[in-house]
Amino acid sequence: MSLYIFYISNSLLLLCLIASLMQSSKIINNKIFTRPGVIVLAYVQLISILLSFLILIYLFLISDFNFDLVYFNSHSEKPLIYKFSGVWGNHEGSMLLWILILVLFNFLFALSRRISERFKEITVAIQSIMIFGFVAFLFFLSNPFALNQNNFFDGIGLNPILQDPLLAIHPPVLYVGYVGFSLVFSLAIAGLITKEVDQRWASIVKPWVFSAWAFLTAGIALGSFWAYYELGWGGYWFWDPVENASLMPWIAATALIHCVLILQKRNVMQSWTIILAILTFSLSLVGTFLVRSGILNSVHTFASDPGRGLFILLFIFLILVFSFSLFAYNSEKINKINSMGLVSRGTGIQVNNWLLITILTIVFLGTMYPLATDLLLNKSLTVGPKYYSTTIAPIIILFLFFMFISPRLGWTDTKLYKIIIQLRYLIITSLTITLIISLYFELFNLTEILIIFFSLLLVISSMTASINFNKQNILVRTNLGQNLAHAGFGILMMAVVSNAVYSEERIYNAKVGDNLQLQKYIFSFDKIEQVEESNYNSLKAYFLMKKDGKLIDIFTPEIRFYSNPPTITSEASILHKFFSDIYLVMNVPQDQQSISVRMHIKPFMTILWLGTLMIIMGGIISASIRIGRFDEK
Amino acid sequence: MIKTTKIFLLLFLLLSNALAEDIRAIELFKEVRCLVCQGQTIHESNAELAEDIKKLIREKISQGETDRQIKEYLVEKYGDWILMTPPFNNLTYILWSFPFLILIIGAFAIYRQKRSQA
Amino acid sequence: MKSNYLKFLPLALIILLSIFLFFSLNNDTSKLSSPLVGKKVPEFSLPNLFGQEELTNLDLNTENPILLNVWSSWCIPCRAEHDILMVLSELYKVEIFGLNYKDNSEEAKKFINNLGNPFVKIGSDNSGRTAIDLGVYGVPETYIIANGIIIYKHIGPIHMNEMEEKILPIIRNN
Repeated sequence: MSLYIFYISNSLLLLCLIASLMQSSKIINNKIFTRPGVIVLAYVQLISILLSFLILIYLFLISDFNFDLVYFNSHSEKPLIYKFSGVWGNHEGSMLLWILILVLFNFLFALSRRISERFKEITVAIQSIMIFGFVAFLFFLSNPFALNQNNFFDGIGLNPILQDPLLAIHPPVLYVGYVGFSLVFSLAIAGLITKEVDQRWASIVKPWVFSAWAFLTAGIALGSFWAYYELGWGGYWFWDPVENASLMPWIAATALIHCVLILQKRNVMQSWTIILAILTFSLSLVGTFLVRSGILNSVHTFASDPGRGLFILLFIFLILVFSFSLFAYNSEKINKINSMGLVSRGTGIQVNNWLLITILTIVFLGTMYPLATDLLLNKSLTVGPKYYSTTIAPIIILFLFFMFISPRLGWTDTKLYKIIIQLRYLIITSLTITLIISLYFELFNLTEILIIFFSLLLVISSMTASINFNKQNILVRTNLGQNLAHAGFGILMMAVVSNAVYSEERIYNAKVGDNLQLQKYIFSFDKIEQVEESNYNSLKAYFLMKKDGKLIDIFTPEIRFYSNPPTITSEASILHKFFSDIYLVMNVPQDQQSISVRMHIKPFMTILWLGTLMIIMGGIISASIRIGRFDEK
Repeated sequence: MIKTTKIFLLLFLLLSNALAEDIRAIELFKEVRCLVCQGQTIHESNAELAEDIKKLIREKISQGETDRQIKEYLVEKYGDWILMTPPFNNLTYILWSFPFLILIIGAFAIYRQKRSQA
Repeated sequence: MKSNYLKFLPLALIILLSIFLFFSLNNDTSKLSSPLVGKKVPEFSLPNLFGQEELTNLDLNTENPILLNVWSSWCIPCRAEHDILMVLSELYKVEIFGLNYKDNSEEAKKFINNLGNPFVKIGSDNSGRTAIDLGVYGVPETYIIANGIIIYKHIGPIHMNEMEEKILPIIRNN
């Protein structure tokens, strides 16, 4: 039985390889031999990969340990949902999922209408070259359907730190984001080949780039949310190399969506938009490379293998050399000079584009610099969170200012003082609130005050702009997506700063019966007990949280001992309140008498997630609503 | 009466000094990498070496050493790697100054482009 | 005019980055260099595990290169390494000093009595303070010292091939 599955699934992969090869040959426009149509081939690509993915899910669900992948990553006693998510909790399976999303995007694009046939053919051909590359990589270097040579009774199991419902959905969401940019990349290359990077091109690209961006944002947010819960370090972002690897394409993509917008409205910045489209996708690939090649030290280390790293590197190299050579050859033919005026919305977006590039450079340097010093000078360095916060904070202040002012400017030259006068009430309100906040909460750091002030300005400005009445007092359609996302970003920044400033932390060595204090709360260490679950044993501590003698909540931080494979994880116990989270983690006991417990008060966490959610919603709305001069024609 | 006040004052001074040392120690812990963990500070780690280094830092603080002296000692023994934030030196000047360079190049480029259009 | 060159900039950057990543791929980041190599052994003085006379940095100030091995009875790789240390001291007549790291003296003595003693002298570092002074990450670690100066540091257990290819050539050449 397993042998049949082995042959069927591998043939399916081969089928997809052939279909992709035929699809990509359409990049050359000849009529010598006829080939099946774009849509037919797209169906073949999708169905072959979809079937092999379903087969892999089936193998995990029935725990068929005749297959290497199932043996190494699953266990018969694992709960069903983790058997399911175990499919992509490993390198090979996640690669297959990545390819599935790649062919899905390819398929959806092939079906889309109102696009010239030739342009569609080229885009799908470029996309199919990538599908070919990835399927070849999967088939030859990381085959998920490799048979297990020996007979084993049971599997090794999924790393328990990955056994979490959030992490079951985090990779698929993140991949939709990453892979979505592959289509944007293909569109950019098709635009370069046909030399048609114009307003029409921008409106074709817009829904794809916005949805990819929204998914990438959601994927990163889910990862951060998971780290907050599961790692038990009391933080949500650690500037870890793998986190940076996902943040870099996001920054480039954020610049890109704005460029696509101005391109659609004003027909300017063609080359820059193309560069950003290529950059965004290559950063997604570089991220994959960094994570899977094992050249980075990280808390999220994937199964790493230099051979795989070499393949991905070669692949990235070929794609990028091809696309940037094409760019160097054709860039002058796509550019159109179109003036925007010095003080205009376009300039604002340009400035913020550059600020984003600066932030991107910082993240890139911070991630790569230790590698470089190690390689070139044999000296190790650590680039920790403080490097990022000190260098990025001043840029964020400028960024928030331009985010606030740009949407208020017109597309042609505008008088700045007129705008300021127009917005005087808004500015005075924000200034007053910031003053009150900083005096009341004793906030005297200039950078922090400025970030709060400009965030506030941005939030109020975006919110008032989204509620707009015309002369007949009817609510007019405004750019809801933009305003929501911008307000969300302002809220996020305020939450990040206040969280950093007002977080409090206590570490205690506690015995049963101890009363520990954190601000105005008392935590009574009630008891500790052992709990047995189907796939782990755990040590659970009970803390009664009291305020003014009244019981408010019971905290149960846990340490879990998994046996398949043997791992210890620490589960935080968190109480969410609107203005702050209270967070308890315990560590592996050093001796019999006491446990070490860490308590955090994390203010504004709920608001931080709320801001993130608003950004994602804004992206989704912008992806689904088509507003623009070109569409309205 | 005066005597008790004096005792209280002394006690308070001692306590506040201990508290200040404790705060300083924790701030330092957050600046020192746990050498045997992956990307954690010694503040977050319970590894044995991390605990030993924490103890050492507390001792050095109570001996009156400055934060800078303590960091210099750790760097001398383990290299720049042990500091979470890289110091500004001839190894890291590109790391610290490059972002500003990029910022200035951008400002210059945008300004020039606008002027040539005007 | 200028943009003619500028449009090749991304291409150049990508090629540079790829070369860099290619070499990083083959670079072992797990190895850690010690800043103490080339420096004098810091001053220390530790109680002797077996005798009265303390182990101090002055003991290590010899003309011929010697080894300083950091070990513990609770450390499993140290057991594996012990055979190599025995070979080094008995066959190659290398002087080895031991630094017993955060150990129980009784356990440490039992360990030596069972497995043999390759050490000239063993100092007990119960608090682990001297080890931090020496920049130790964990056990086992081995320093090669000549004239009181650290010339090489090996992290982790020494394997047979490492003894032959690294440790012995350094000792012979100094």
